[in-house]
Amino acid sequence: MSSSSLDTLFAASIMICLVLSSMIGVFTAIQPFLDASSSDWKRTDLRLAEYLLSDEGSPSDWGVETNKTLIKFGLARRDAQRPYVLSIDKVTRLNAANRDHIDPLEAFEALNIADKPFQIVIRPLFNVTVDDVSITEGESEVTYRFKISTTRFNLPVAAQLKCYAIIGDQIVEYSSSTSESGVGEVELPLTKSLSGTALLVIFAKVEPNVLSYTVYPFIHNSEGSPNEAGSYALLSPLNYTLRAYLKDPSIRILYAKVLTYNYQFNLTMIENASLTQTFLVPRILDKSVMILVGTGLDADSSEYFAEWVSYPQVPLRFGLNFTGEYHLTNAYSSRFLVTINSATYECEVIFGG
Amino acid sequence: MHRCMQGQIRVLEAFLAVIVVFGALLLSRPIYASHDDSADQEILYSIGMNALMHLDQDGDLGRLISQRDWAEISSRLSILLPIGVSYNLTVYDEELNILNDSPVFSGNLNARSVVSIQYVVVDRESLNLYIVRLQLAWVK
Repeated sequence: MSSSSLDTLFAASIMICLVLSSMIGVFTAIQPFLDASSSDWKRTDLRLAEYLLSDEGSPSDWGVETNKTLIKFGLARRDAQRPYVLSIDKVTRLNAANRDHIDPLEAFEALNIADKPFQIVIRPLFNVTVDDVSITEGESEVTYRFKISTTRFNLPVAAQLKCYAIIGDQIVEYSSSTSESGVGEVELPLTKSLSGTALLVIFAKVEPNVLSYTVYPFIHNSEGSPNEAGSYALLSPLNYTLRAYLKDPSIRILYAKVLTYNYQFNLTMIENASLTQTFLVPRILDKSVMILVGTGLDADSSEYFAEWVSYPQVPLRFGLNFTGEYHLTNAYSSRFLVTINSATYECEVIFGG
Repeated sequence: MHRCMQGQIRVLEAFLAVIVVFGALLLSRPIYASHDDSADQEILYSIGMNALMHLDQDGDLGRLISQRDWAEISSRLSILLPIGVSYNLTVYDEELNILNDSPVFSGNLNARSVVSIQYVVVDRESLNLYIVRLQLAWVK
């Protein structure tokens, strides 16, 4: 055989290898897309998601009993009369920011299904955003005007608003609404006798009991910027008890409050240790998320700081992070409306293949 | 001699072509699009029933129907249903007469598959019984 024939044979072999390896590559890449047409696993995942949200799990009080081992994973409230009514504490323990949060691996094991990774996303049905508009300084008080927007996927939502501005022990309320274009304005005066970080807490409500909220920190009667969340204390609610884990023994929470759409109350302190403080949260029969606020004085600057946490701790994202294209192709998402503390939220359960 | 060589190369080419064809057959498989949308219909049904149950919380749906407040029902359905779903709601009385004089809908139902959900609701004050039919489809 001549050298040119050998060259031809060699070149042809390389071409065949290239063609076959590219076919293998393409086939591997499109395999999940081909498998995605199956309807059966969609049904299975829908049933599994329904089960997760309708079953109370075992032990049934795993939301409040942090020392008990989770045997079966389920988020429903123990005495729920309707489907998709979730336990406020079970949901709160899904949030990684909570001190008593459960590990996703523990939940996977408690689901008792091998190779079924999942993610749970719970969020309000619409968003609330805040923008500064103006600050008017008077003799004894400063009046702040804020522009509030309520949107759902960038589409405007008309909502009723209840706003609270808090600094130290002072709290100012204001009721308003956003128009059909999803925009509204609120005006809140704060006394000049106090200075430091103030919080603007906004609850937005759309019937039937669809609640959303946002908390906007701003600096009042002082220079600089508001304190960062968690820089003085980490607030962690569970079982209608608020625990404040202080960053330093010199830091004290002097005033603790619970705010809902219709009510506000001071919290009663039941424990005051060097690095922790514990407060009782009242069981308020308001169809609303609770915002727990703790304020105190910074020893160095003599200005007020403010920390806050929502109860239940939503929005949250729990479980496997489905980010890769392959994982997303093999994942199926079910969407539900769930009730937590009588307010409606959107819950998305995503199961991997 | 040269012609003989050319013949061998042709045989070799044919052989290699056979390898490529068989390799393609082995490594790939028929690509087909699934037309089974029964699972999607089940998902739509689940979404619709979930929304109706939330709409009927505290007997609100029966009260709104008694008040003939179709705009409020439409507004509530729009916030409860996902953005990508269009709907049409029809309310019947016990004799199956249509009660809503204005349409309660969002988007159009001109889709390949439309799911229809029947839901029985009672106004707690007047004790009137209504049949609600909610039709849902994915927005194209």
